[in-house]
Amino acid sequence: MIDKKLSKKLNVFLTIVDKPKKGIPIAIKDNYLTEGIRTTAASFVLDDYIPQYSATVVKKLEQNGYCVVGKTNLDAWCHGSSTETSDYGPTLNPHNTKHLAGGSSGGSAAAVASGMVDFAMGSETAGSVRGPASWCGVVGLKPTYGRVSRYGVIAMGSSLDSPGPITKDVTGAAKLLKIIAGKDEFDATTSGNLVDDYELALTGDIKGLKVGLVENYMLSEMDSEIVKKTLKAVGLLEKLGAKITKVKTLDPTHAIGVYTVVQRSEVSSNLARFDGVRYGFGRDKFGEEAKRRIMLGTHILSSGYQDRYYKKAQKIRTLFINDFNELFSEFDCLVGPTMPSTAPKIGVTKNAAMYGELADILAEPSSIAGLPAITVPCGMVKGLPIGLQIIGKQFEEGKILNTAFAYEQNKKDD
Amino acid sequence: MIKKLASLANLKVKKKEEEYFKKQFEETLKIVEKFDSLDTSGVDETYIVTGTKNVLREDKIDPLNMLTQDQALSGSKNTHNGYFVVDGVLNNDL
Repeated sequence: MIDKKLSKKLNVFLTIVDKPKKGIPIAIKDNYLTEGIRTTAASFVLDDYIPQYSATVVKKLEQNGYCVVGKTNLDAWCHGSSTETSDYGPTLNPHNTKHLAGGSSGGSAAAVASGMVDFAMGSETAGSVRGPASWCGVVGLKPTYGRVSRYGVIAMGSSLDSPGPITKDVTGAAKLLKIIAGKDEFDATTSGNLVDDYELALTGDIKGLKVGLVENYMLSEMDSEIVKKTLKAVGLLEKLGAKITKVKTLDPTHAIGVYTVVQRSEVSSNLARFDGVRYGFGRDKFGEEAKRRIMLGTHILSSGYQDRYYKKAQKIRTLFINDFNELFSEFDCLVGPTMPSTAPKIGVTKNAAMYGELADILAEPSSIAGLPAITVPCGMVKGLPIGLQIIGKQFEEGKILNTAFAYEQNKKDD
Repeated sequence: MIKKLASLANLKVKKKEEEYFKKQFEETLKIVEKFDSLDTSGVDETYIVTGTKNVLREDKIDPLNMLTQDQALSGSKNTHNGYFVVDGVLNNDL
């Protein structure tokens, strides 16, 4: 069913299921446990790992008519925004194979963008769904933290991780979210809030919607074409009846530090369990990026540095939450560009220890606040796609999906 | 410093990697420390963003949600009489 030649060319799938069950084909990022199907997290540590059970998300999708056709490439352990840290090599961008698909859910984004599947699952800590979706020209939804179960998803940053769909269109994202959202007794951080009917939310009517255009997400170093196209997309929302007001958020550069500290700390704890005793290989198989993150996290959490870095970061996290709360007391959603650039060329991450954190600057503030956000394609810049980002209040996925849907249905091809 | 961190994290780092990691840590922390310019006096820390409180359940075994011994051992490369085999820990110099 999967075009194996194309998959090999772009390095999309790490495992292709030879005889998939009947159903709607879906590609699953290789950090989701899939019973009987190899799951590697793109690390040689788990090169031969066959899980004995499936993640809750995978189970729910299978119960609702979807079948897993393969497991997609990612940055090893989700550590990155390029797929260049994958022990199996990077995934190439279907729009231009000299460029990267992005990460960490790069395989899932490329699988959808290249037409191999219409539906895929990614997962996001900060930017890992939105980034590659934006760079590959597809839709990516990062749900509210706790809206979707993390059970059976190999953990990266446990206070941030949010499984999310990557799809051909907004309707596809709404369909998948409706299935995967909800409380799970195996993940105590999932919310008992009622799950909306996200497909019914797609009315396309955004008349009177109060939208904040985040001015300071238009970074000074950004390509002027990205700014222009983002403003054009926001202009269309206005034409459709939304009320646009320019707003400013807390400087997103501070979120880089918060995200780095929180994520490295949680990584060092989460990756301590991989010892090669119960499954997989030993810790000598960890790649450079994983080692770097584990050790820095260990440093940050060691006595004498906790207050300096970890507690300070968690306090600034509160400042970001307060800042968003204030904005959402006035606005239904916030909009801006998803990524500061288009997909970079292969090799960009060499010797750049902070590449991912810097590339994901526009996703980090909403991630550390646990907010939902969606990226929807809004044109091409120099032959590569860009995305419009729509951020919502916690558990208001319906609103951002509908805003993205209204845009998608009315935009003219670039 | 790198040697100590590697030992705490149960990782092996080659001699020539030590300097490389050290330099990168310094660069990373320099970027992180930019957040010091924000005043956080009187601000509480946030550890969970959705306000979830402790979630408890009864400590009961659910036979429908457990692995059989064979399943649990199926991924291991070293088992003995139905148990995982691990390296000795008592003689390790920690």
